[in-house]
Amino acid sequence: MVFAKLVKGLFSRQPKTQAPPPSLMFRGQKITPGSEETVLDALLGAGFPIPNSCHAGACQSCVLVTDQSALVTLPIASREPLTEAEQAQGMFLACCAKLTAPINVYLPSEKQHPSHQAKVEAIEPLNGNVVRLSLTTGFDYQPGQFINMGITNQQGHWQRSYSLASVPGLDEHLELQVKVIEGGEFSHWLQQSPVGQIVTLEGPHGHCFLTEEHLESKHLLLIGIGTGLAPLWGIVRRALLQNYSGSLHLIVAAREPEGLYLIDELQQLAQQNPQLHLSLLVQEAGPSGPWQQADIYEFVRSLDIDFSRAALFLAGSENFVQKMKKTAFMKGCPMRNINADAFIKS
Amino acid sequence: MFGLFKKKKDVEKSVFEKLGGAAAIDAAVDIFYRKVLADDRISHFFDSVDMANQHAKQKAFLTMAFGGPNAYTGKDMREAHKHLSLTEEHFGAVAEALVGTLQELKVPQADIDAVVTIAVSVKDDVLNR
Repeated sequence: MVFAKLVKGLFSRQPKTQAPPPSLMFRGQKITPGSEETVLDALLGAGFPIPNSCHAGACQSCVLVTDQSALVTLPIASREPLTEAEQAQGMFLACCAKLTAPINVYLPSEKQHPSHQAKVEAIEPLNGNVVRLSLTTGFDYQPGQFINMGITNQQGHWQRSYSLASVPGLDEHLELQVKVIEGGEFSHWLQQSPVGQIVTLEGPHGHCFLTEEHLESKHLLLIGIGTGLAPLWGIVRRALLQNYSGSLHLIVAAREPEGLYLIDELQQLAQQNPQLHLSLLVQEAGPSGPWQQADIYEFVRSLDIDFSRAALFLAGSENFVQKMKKTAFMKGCPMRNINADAFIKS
Repeated sequence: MFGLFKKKKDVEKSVFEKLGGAAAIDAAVDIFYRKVLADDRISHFFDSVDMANQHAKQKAFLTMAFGGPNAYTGKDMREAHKHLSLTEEHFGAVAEALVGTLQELKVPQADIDAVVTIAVSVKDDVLNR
């Protein structure tokens, strides 16, 4: 009896009229797509010049971003063509997305990221001009992503992008490896003994991080110059932690031996993990050590691996990243497998 | 009779579908882009472009040229190339890379011809004529 009442009650609550069609928010404007319209149709119809071409999920011109929680409400066809890392960033193809629920939509370059407070725990030199910054904070990130660190002091406010070198669950603190440039803002800040200070971190950003599809590749090739080691230091340890079973190459280069850092830790990691091949390269001859003098592009070109089955992670200056991308691509590495974190000078 | 229908349907299938749709286009773009970058007549045009962006644009172009879904208007193609002062020779080099790609993918000649016809149809947009 009670049950029957309950069932009746449930049925009587069924809406008599159809729910209004879900709408999307874009640049502060509410847009309601027609019943057969995709997100792309609706945005173009509203006059927003979203890049597009094939309208069928093939060309991937129309990548947009939504909030992670809203992504699952979009059709699989709008997510599947993208890499796992892109999907993890909330990316989808607007041309294949018909709404089932209201969502916020952003161009990838316009998505705002949350800000976090972080306490500076320690600062220690790693070589003549690179320092390790250890921070306490509490947000989720992937090794290889980057954050924007903002600092406000008497001189004003400044913000810089730094890669995350730590691995959640493995390292106690969030770790940055920063090259100190004399006369730069960061250098000034260091002189004020900032241990204990609170800084603002905005992010995490970027999709240069390890996903399941990378772990299935035959080779993982991590190549960095200078503090390009920072994201790779996180990625290599994450790969080992996830028992990556292919061959793992970490190639770290600097102009001269003094530019290398974390040498002992890297060597120790290679000793403990036989599948890890470590190569330390220097461009200019100098004192001898565990490094070799080589042109990094030539070195990578001559590697005896199947590039068509390799996943690559590149980090360093923009120029280096572009050139290495091309080197690896011409050796047969699929473009989809090349992940890069280019440091833009600021 | 059914055989007849089947045959007709096969003929109507685009190169895009025959290759395996969107998922297969990535591999085709990789081959095509490598050929373009290896060709001294045109590789310098790509020295300073972002490779991932360029790859995405080529994916849109190949999808269209292979008879796949597209909303090609010519406007973006014209905009992207007009400052480059391109000539017939440059266009020919890209067309060669396209034919080479299709040959490598073992696409039959009749289908290659169909793709070339579509590619040639964008020539005026590329050369800004």
